Amino acid sequence: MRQLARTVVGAVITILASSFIVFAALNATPGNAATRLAGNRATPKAIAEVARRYGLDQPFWHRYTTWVWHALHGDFGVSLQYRVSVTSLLKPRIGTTFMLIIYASILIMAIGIGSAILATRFRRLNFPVTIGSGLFIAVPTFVAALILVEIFALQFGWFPVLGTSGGSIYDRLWHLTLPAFALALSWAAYVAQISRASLRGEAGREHVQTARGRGFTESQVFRRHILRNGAIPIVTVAGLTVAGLVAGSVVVEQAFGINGIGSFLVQSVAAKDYNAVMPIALILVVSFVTVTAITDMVHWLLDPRIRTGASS
Amino acid sequence: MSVLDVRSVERPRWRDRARHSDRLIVALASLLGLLVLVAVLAPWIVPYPPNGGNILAANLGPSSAHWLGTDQLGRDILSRLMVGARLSLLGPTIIVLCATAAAVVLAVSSVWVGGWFDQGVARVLDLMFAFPGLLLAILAVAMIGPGLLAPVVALTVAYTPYIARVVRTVALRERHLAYVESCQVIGISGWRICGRHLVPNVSPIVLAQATIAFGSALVDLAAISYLGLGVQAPQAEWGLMVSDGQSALLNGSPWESLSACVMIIVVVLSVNVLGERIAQRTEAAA
Repeated sequence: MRQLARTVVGAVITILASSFIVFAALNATPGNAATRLAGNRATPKAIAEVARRYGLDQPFWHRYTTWVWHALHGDFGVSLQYRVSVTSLLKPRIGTTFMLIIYASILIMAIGIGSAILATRFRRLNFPVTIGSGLFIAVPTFVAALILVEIFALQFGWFPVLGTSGGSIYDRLWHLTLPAFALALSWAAYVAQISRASLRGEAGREHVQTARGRGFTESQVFRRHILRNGAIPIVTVAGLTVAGLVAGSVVVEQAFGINGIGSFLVQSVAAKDYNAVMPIALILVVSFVTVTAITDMVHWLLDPRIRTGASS
Repeated sequence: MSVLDVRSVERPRWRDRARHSDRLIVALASLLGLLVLVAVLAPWIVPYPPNGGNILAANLGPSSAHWLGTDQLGRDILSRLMVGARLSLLGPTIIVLCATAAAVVLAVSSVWVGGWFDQGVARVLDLMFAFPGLLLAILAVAMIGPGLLAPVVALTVAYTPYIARVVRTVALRERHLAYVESCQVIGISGWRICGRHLVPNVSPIVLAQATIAFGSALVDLAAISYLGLGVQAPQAEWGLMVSDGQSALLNGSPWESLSACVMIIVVVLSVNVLGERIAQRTEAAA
């Protein structure tokens, strides 16, 4: 319980601190938001009027606290680019991004941990998994995206090249398949590499030999002794990986022309639409911090040694 | 097949691989050295001017005149790859050098001073972990504007904690060794102990970390350019070339994108394997 409280408090402090950093950084930039909102040819009087209406003439601390207060109520202000509320722009996009991230996470867990298990159980698969994971780790997300498009969309024609679909859930998943694989590839390889090392390290230890000597079958030894003990680093790395997907999704969405919050972030940065940049950056940081905190908790549940260490 | 059997077989095999890895390190280091040489000499050895092209000869496949074909503006892809190597390799080099220097100074000084300073540094590093490098780079571009400066500064900041954490662990172990105390007893100053003993002793680990970080920095920086927020056209850079060639790829001439993709993969792969082998050797030596 105390551990839970500590993790939650730590996460909240991190999120608050990053909200301040993001707000301060983007409000220190040249190119006043009021000038942008009022338009290019606005008179100084019109600019002042706009600044007053949006509270931009207030001191920095007041603006920050107002912004946080409104943000907590789901109001992120007006997009400088589209002149409508940022929340209304984010709402249709956020679902697509989270679907993409969850799809990719499932692929990473299945491929990464699965291949590590296979490599440990069957010695013949050890070499191909080692080489394959080492190779795919070196393939950046956007490179994977283009290569997958070239092979599976252009040569074979199995999947659509670009875009998302507003249709049924199956259709949407079908459109997200190549992007999810592109996003998952190098991370799955990373998870496979770490998991394989962890499981193999565990397989060589004495308690495993003892279990074999006591006459347990290979699968029993594997499940009860190797997998259970080897799982702790796997959970850690899997959590970090899913957290990393949050940033990786930005690149994949841009590569496949998916209309999610990641590609919207890039658009908004290019258009200097800071009111849109701030909430997206915060959403990404919050998801990152949340996943990391959950990983800490699972880690703590899995490994009794950490629990006793924390209480003493 | 008994377990003992497996172990006795594996021992000598590892020793073989250690000898093997010497050759591998030399081979990979020479490959990367060659690439750096090409990058440095690029303006003088390119077959065609990288920014001059014949629009009538656009999107050509590989031929004896253009070994890797031409891009959508008829520019020679090989020449652009060679010139592009300059920015593609320079950026990550700056990032890794600065981040490593910052990480070593932070980690060693916090281990040496200890107490509240150590705690404070640890807290700041924890906070920095909350920002994925790529996101920090995008935010920096939002602040400063597109170009190489913003992402390089941001990624330097983002990579420092990753290197610092590893260095801190090693430096902490080193600091409690008997020789440090002996140095203190005979009156050698803290600066001198850190500079002459502590830092050199942690440097193999630092080298391994920096090598691996170079690969990720290259990927992140190329991704920023791919997103259109980093190096701007008409300059040549691998990430930018991947995105420049994307529309040509969709129309059936994938040469620009794919050759830039291959360059990125080759460099990252070599750097990763090199870093791993260096780390293995340091572990074996320790």
